[in-house]
Amino acid sequence: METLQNIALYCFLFVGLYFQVFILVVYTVNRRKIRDDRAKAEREPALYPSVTIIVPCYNEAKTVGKTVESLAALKYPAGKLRIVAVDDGSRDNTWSVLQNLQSRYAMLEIHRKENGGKYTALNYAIEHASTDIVGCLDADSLVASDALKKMVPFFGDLSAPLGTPGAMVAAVTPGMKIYKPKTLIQVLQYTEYLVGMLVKKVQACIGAIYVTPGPFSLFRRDLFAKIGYFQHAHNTEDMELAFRIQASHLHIENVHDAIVYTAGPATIAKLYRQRVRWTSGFLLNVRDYRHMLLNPRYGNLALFTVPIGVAMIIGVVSSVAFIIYRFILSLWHFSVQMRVVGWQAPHFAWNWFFVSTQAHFLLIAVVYFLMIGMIIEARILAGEKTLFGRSTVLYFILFPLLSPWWIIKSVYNAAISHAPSWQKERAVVTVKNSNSPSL
Amino acid sequence: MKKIPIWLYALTLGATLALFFGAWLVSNYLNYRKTISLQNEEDAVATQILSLQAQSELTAAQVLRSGANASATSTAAVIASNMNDLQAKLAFMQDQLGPENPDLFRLERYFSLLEIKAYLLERALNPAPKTATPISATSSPLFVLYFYPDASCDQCLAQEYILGAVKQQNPQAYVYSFDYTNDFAAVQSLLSLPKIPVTTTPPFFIINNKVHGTFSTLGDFQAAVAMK
Repeated sequence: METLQNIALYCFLFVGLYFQVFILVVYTVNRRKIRDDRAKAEREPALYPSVTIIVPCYNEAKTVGKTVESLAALKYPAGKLRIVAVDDGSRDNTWSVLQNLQSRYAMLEIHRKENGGKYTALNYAIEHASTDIVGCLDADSLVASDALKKMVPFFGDLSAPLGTPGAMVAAVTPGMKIYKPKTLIQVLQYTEYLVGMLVKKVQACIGAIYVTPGPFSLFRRDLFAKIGYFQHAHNTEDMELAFRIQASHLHIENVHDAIVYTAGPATIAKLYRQRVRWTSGFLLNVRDYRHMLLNPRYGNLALFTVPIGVAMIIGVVSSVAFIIYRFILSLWHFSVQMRVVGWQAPHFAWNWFFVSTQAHFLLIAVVYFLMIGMIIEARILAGEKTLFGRSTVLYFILFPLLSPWWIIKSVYNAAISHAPSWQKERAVVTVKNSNSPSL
Repeated sequence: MKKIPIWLYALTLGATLALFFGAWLVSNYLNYRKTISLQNEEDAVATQILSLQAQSELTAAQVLRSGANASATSTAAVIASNMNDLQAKLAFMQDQLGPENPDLFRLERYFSLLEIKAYLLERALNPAPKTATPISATSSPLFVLYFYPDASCDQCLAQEYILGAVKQQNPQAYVYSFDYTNDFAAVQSLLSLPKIPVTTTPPFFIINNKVHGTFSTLGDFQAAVAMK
């Protein structure tokens, strides 16, 4: 058991370290490209292609107003931007809110359909779209006013057929931040999203993005004619579409400077449900696209992102199994102690000698050290005012305690092929403006 | 599809392996330093024992003035405390590096010899009482030799808890643990001191020269000691 435990531990540490080193190495090597991307995003676009932004809504009466407001405030030529809100059979007063909004914003179109899930709402609007670019924005998210303008140049030549030289980019994703975090759980996610921004930028540099997130991903409209529409995909339609884009050898770009603010789950229960959906969806999509796994024909997504993701999940599950085993062993020792000698007050005398100097403890320290490096790089990339914040501390303490539970549940769900619904977890937040503070 | 940067994968692999190798080197160095420190502590205890032995012999030859006995008793207490500390450190290192580590194996054997020397000296300085004494009576010394098997056993954990509690509750308890399979002649001689039945298998105790099997609880131990 001890040997097995050591082998599993060192394998997990190797995967974790490899991931961190890879991210930092690729980021360092691509610093010039990232700088160029930033400059490209800042330049005024040569052309303003026509854009439809779809806002799928399900019981979003409290938040959709601010979402539409932020879209209406986008710095983009009038007549080139269409906003389409689709009420996916909401049971609250989303529809009447949308009607009020339509009277205020001429560019807003509203539609109502029977409830069928987010992907059906998106497909409904895509079918009726005639613009060059189609985007989506979850109704609990806000977009910075210059985000769209920064993203469109990354599509390249929109007049050339998709998949031809100069027109390989099928989708462009933004940089995502948590909007004005209030609860501890949201504060924790603030750093997580910043790290996610760095990781996504690195993945974009090597063509290995595995998700085109609901908050403000843009697509060429002809992409859907070429590879098909959104699918149910275990309630992770944004992940499945990214897999399909990559499987078609098309590109997904990332513009980290185009900021979208999303309302992260405010409670542990909501965060748990969201992450179970994401992780279950990831595993089930990997199962569906298993032919890509470790196949060099599918590039770095197949060789890096997906295998590392799967290995991390296996690592976390096996670590939890060993922690539980250790815990049971300690309980048994404690029960023997109680039976044999009764309660004995433990006496602690600090001595450096008893600090573990085993290699795996040192490697865990290296993992944490590199994690700090990644967070600092992420904060610089995201334009944060400070290199460290209270969110960083919370992230270090709480994330390792919380994440194993949704990973285990996700593995269980994936094993029995049960995908939880996206509609249950919708965070209800009241958003006021788009200036998010630095944490 | 973007080009696969093979060299980046190779560079990352190299850097990750370097980190692993670095951690292994640092770990080995720190463990080596700890082993050296253990060795030094054992040497220091050996010197203390030698000093006490010389002092004891001088006392026996009536060379020293009165009051030397009190000083010897206090030195003996320091030795006992150092021995306990050493034992805890040896156990910690064995848990960290595994019992098969050759350096630790050597240090453990050395420690066994020190234990025997310390035991004989403590016995000479603190003769066992002629009458039965309860364990809680701090004035009477209690000499416990514990022989354990080289492999883990069902009852070993319970015996270790009992010994820990005995040491904690009674400052006059001198507890010495020996690996039964230790092939040192000195350890084997120790086994021949009291009359140990041939059928006795470890773990077992020799408490004030009397052989005892395992105990189920601390109460059983205390009762057995009080009844002797």
